[in-house]
Amino acid sequence: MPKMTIHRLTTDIPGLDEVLGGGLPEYSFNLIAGAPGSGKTTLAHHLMFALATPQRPALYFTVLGEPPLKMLRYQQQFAFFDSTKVGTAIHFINLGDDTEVGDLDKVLASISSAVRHHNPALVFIDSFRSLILASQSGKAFLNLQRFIQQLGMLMASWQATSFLIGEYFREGDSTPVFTVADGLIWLRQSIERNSVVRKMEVAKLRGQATLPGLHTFRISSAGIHVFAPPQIAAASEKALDDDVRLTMGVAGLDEMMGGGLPRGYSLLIAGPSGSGKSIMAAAFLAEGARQNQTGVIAAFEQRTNRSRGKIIADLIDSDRIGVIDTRAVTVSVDEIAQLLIAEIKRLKATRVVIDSLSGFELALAPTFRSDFRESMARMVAALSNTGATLMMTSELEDRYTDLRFSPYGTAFLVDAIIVQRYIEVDSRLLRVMAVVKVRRSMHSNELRLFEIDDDGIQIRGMLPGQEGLLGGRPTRRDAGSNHSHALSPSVDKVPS
Amino acid sequence: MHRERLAVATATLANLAARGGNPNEVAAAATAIWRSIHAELSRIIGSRGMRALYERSLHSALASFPWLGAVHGTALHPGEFDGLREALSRQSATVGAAATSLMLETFCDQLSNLIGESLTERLLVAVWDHTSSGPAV
Repeated sequence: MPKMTIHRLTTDIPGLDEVLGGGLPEYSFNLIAGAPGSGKTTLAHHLMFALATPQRPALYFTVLGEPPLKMLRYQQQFAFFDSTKVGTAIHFINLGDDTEVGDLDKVLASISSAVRHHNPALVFIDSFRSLILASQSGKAFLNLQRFIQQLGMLMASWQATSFLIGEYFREGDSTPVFTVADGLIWLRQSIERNSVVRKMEVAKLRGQATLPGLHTFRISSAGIHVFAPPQIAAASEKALDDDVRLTMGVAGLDEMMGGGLPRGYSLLIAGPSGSGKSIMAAAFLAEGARQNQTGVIAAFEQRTNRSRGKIIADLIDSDRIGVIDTRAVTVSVDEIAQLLIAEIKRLKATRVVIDSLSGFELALAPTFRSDFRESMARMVAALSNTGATLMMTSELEDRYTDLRFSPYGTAFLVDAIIVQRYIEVDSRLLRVMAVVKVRRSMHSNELRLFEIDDDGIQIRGMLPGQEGLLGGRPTRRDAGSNHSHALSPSVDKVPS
Repeated sequence: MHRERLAVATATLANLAARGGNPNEVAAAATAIWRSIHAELSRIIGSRGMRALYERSLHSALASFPWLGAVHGTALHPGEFDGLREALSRQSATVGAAATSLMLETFCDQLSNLIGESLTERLLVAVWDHTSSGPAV
């Protein structure tokens, strides 16, 4: 005899099914809890409009609390609100009069009668707080616990997937609802400094593995969008393909890297302000376009597309390069990762640029900054999983006493590193660059001068006979002790 | 579309008056419409929401029909329109029909301002189905 399998309802709310662990279990009795303004009613409406059909109708019971007229007025502002569903697939029912007298028996009777009449597949009760208050008003013959149990039984026996929406629950509460409920979704607003971020937690969902932790979500005119952490397949190592290499679009750089950047690698370009990191990133994308490859750029510097040069601007206009618009402040790393992955899939992009990590960190809501390294590690792994090759730039504060590649310790996350520095020679500020690391590949160890002109980056020779370049002020060394310029293997451990 | 059906309903009242219908008939027809609206809407927006909209319509119509002042606060139970019926039956059929039309139009305008025309139409469709004694539109 086959075991019973629980059918899961696909909500189509971006990210929600992933966080729920594959959708909503059918006939489950769920709780949507959170403080006022945390998005409970919006989540409930989005779920309802996404799932309800005339064959699978929904009942939305309103109980005092927010006046239904206002609820209908405001919920209509969301794109998911399809008023043609009202009266056919969705029925709003007000229970105000019954709760007003505090009689839970009557409330249950009203709910039962409506359920019998409409035979709904989905039932929402908003808000449950009013019911609790009503039950405390003294006239209740039925206590809250029994009411909830009977309600749960009613819903299960009518095979309805149901949702209680309540702003009155606190995490410490021992409300009997918590025990009876099959699912518990907490919505929170996390406030840190001047930023507010919405977070969702699926604290309980019987019978399936949910994604643990707090997940960022946004409410926009489209409705709810949950940003689940990117999922990393176990075989992410496979995405690294050392045999195929991508050309960088800067003459001489491919040779320095031992033949270009291996496909699927992540490359960090670290350098001080103005050293040419963004130009190198633009060259990387333009080179891809020249070979008919598409790209995606997440730009965190406040610049217009035009300022990236005509080639890149044209490629963006013709949708050969996708742009992740990050004007929204207070993003999370997971959100950017999800947007990037969606755009990579849409354009089948092979080259991805994040310019720059410093700007990225600034765009993050303060609450996410402390987890920056962990989230970055997840994002880099998820992006490399797509098979795309990643280039990130990182502002490097000029320090001439030590060799640093990134202020975040992100250097260990990446497969390759190029560092750019300013040096002072004969009262001029010159630029040098070197390939620090290309994992599992030979690469040059030369520190090469480079210039930026109208055609982009021009790599020149070394400064033979000079030493102390990384200290910023090279000194001429006695002739006769030149090092060899052979290709050398990269070591995996580099100072970061 | 519900505007047309509202127009049909008010025209039916006006015709009833024009054909020499007596004030009691107009009052009965008018309260039937209000009862039907109450039955449909109070389920969805609650009887308080319904009463708030109804009383606002009543109040707005006072400027043109001061005798409606007698109706204020007469309803003892939600969905009861006896006070309105009594006040209407004391006026001529034509005046009663005109006052009812004005109240219904104000009511629909308010509802539509709050929740939009298309949802108003969805919520009131059954009202016009029930009350329409005129030709189908």
